[in-house]
Amino acid sequence: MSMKTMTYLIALLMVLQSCNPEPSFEIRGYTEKIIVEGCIESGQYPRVFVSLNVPLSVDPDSVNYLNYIIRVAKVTVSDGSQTEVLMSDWDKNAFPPFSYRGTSLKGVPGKTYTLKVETGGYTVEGKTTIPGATGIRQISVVPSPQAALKQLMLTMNIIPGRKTSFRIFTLKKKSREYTESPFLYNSEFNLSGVQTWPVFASPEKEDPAFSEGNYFASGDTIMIKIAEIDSTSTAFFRGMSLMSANGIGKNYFTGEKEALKSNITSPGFGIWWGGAVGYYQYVIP
Amino acid sequence: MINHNKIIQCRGYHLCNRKQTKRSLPGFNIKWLMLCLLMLWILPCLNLQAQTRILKDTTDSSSITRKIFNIRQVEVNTRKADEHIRAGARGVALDIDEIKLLPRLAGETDPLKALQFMGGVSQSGEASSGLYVRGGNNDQNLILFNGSPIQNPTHVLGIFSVFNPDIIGRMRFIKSGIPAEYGGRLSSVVDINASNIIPEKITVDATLGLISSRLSVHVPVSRKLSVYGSARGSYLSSIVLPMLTRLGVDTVLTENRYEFYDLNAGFLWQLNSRNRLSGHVYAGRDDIAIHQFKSYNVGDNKSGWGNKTASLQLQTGISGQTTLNQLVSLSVFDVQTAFNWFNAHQQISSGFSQFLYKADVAQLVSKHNLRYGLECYFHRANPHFVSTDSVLPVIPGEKSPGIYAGQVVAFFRDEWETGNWLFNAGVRLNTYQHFGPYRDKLVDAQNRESYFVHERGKWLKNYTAVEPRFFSRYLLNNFSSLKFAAGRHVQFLNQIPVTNFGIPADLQIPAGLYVKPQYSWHLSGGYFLNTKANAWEMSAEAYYKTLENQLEFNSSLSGIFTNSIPEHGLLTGSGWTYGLEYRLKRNAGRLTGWFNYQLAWSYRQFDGLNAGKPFLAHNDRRHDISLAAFYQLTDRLELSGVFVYATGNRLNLPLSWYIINKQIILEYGRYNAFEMPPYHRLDLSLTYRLKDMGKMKSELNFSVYNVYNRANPFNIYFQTGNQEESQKIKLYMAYLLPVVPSVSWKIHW
Repeated sequence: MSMKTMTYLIALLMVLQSCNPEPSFEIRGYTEKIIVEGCIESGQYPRVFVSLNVPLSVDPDSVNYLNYIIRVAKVTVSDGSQTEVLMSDWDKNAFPPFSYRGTSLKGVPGKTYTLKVETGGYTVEGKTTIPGATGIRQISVVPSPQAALKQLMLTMNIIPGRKTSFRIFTLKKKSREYTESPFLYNSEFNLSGVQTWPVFASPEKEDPAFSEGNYFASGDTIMIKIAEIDSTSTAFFRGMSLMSANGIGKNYFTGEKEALKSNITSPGFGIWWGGAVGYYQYVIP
Repeated sequence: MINHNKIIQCRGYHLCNRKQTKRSLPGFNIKWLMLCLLMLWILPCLNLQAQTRILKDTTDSSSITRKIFNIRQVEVNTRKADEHIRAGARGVALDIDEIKLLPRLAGETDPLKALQFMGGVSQSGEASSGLYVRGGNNDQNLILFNGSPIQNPTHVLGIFSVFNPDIIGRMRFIKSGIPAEYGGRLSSVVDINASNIIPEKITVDATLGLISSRLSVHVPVSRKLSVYGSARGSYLSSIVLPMLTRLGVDTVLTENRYEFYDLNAGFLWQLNSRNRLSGHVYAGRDDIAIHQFKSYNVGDNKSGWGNKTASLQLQTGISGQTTLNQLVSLSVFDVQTAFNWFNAHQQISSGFSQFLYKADVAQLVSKHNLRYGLECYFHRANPHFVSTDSVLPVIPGEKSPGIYAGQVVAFFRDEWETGNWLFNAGVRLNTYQHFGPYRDKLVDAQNRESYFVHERGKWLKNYTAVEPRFFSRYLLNNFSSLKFAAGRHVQFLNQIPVTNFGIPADLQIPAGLYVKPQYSWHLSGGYFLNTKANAWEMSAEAYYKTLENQLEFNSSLSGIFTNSIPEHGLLTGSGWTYGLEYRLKRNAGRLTGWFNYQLAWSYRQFDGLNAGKPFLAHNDRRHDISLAAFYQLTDRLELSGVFVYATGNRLNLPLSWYIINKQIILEYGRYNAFEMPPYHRLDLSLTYRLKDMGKMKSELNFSVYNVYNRANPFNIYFQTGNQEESQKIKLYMAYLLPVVPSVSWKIHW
């Protein structure tokens, strides 16, 4: 092989090597949507967060996100007979820190509630029903692999054909806020009768209880919150469950096949959910 | 020209009494010549030896037996030089010796991967042996080894195939005009057979590679019986990964584990002049444990999968014109995955087993080459079963009996040549029955769900399908032809991928009560040309293919745990693909090789995806180029290279993010609207044949995979930065194989 040929070959290889891609994509097709997250729990006033979706090119930090929170909107909740326009307010302890809250209309199990959000000339709506509350029959613990920690168990009686699922939250004394167990219980509506479930604490890294992982320390007083939700809300939260494609970092295994099942009309997106909520206090034996 | 009038003399020796018979042919007599030819044909059968000696060449003063020519190289080829333009619906025969000269990855020659360098075949992604033929899916290829279908023919996350090149005798690839004797898949046929020659002496082939080695032995027990066996095993975990760790590559690597092996054994027995019996067994397995899954609360993960096949084939010569082939085969594929997830031990198992009896007759009647027969299948699939010691009730604990089905196929085809025309027409008649036991769901009037099992043997769903096949060739002249093919294909067995990459966590779901069989119409036509005395081959072919009842997994991975009837978690849609293929091949000279280019489109349409609008399939490849070259530098040194370029796979990526329930959620755009970076790489190989040491021949192979270190995408995914950093949605591209030099030593006795 002559020197000249060799030079050409090396040059060609260098050109090809320079084609090494940085995985950057031109994101085309972004359109603004009104993102709504609203809930009405039994015995509680409704609370609604309204924002825009944020282009992928914008980093998801709290400062950037503030620019996409919709602070000028008319948010109305109605149970068919009574209608209330929610008041907007800042709440530095909450995230997102700006929300719309009710002051007179409280959630009642069995009732259906309509949400209407009007902003920028657009109106988006959603509808949800607070199911009848099931309630917890028994709270117990079983040993965990770590001697000082216990696995929390809840026993409930599932009414077949009701098509409701359960979101379960726990709050440890040392923690600041409730964390949700990373399973949506009865999400396939395939259970009936008395069922006993393990409940997992899922503290964030900055939570003082992080070292306890999914378990609960003996002697600790904990609060348990259970929210029973209807089938429409179940379809949405099932899509957000563990190992789904939608959450960040969760699509390593599989790409998204379909979007979350929103119950908000276009150009809105999100969830308006009602929950039959029960609160329980328990001391870990 | 030899004048036979004067010189023919035959001598026949009886081996027992050495009695010599001598008869001179004083003049040309057709009867004597016929008798002589007949004797030459009969004598070997009577255990006589025949000798033909040319006494005198009247065209030359010296005897031609003394004429010695210095021939540099003699090429003996079973393939006709003009097969490219004249061949019927037989696809492409791959030259195994040529495949062995292709560049190797970590010293491993891969016959199945070599198919990816053929026109119209795309690989699924980096380091994958998956085949996407003319826009079809990976599970739409019928891969036969000695007649037995192989369900998952890959090792090491798809990097290597399960086929050991040392025991392969013939390999044929058919992607258009698939004749009626093949069926069951929509896109292509890869028909691989072990060598069917009884060797004269014991042969041993061994290859020492960087991550694995293999050994093959072929032993002639007698002149009528031979046995063979081969074994291949890896030593990644015990040698390679610790070495990489010592070199400071990544300490996490040692926490990963990966090993594979495969074993082949068989025999070939010429029972008598009419019957030949052959048998083959294969067992292969992969075992893997990946440390990185810990970040998904998944610990102590172990996964293993493998194929086992056993086949027995009896070839009976009924007459000189008729041969009966009978095959009995059993193949089993299983995947076992065990891990701890949220403090509970989980085990997921899935698998597929198939029993096949096939009897087909090959018969020559006048100009007609007939092939007809019967195939009987029995399938049992276990899409997936989750067993756990978790008390979490979302995980169903009741074991499904699986999916049972039977299939009977009758086929007939005729190939005949008349004038410049060659036709191949046939039909396959299928009847397929899904029967019990089968776990089903019942929804009552109050919308309550309950599960029950259909009784054993109960007929649940029947499908019948007719597959007409047609192929024609018209010879324009001695060096060019036109070919046209049309065919309908049906596929009852489905492998539905669950993950984005090579773990064979596919759902094995045959057609049944809730899943319809896949159908396809495939039309193709092209112009074929040979030039320079068949030294160059060129073809240009266009195709159009429709796909019906295509399946997509429509659930998250957690759905695997919660959906006890996975058939209910599928989406059904259709598809169509079309394209142009151009092929140029050089067969003669020191420099041989080929160039393939494909321009193609592959679409899918599902009611439940992309708002029901058509979208480009994941494996849509607008441009696909493969270039392979072999150059004989010296008698002992051969250089080869392969360059591939393909438009990137289609991908479903997010457009925006929002926050709900304090979680950052990604909003995805149109389905498969994005395109991965293009895939391209260059591999080089240098094979040096060492000097023979007695009976031992050996060669050293130096290969460089991905010469210019192209980072070809294996997977693309999103993650956020950790808590210490500011939150960033970052697009990550995982790539597996940088530049990989390797050396392997192959020995042959």
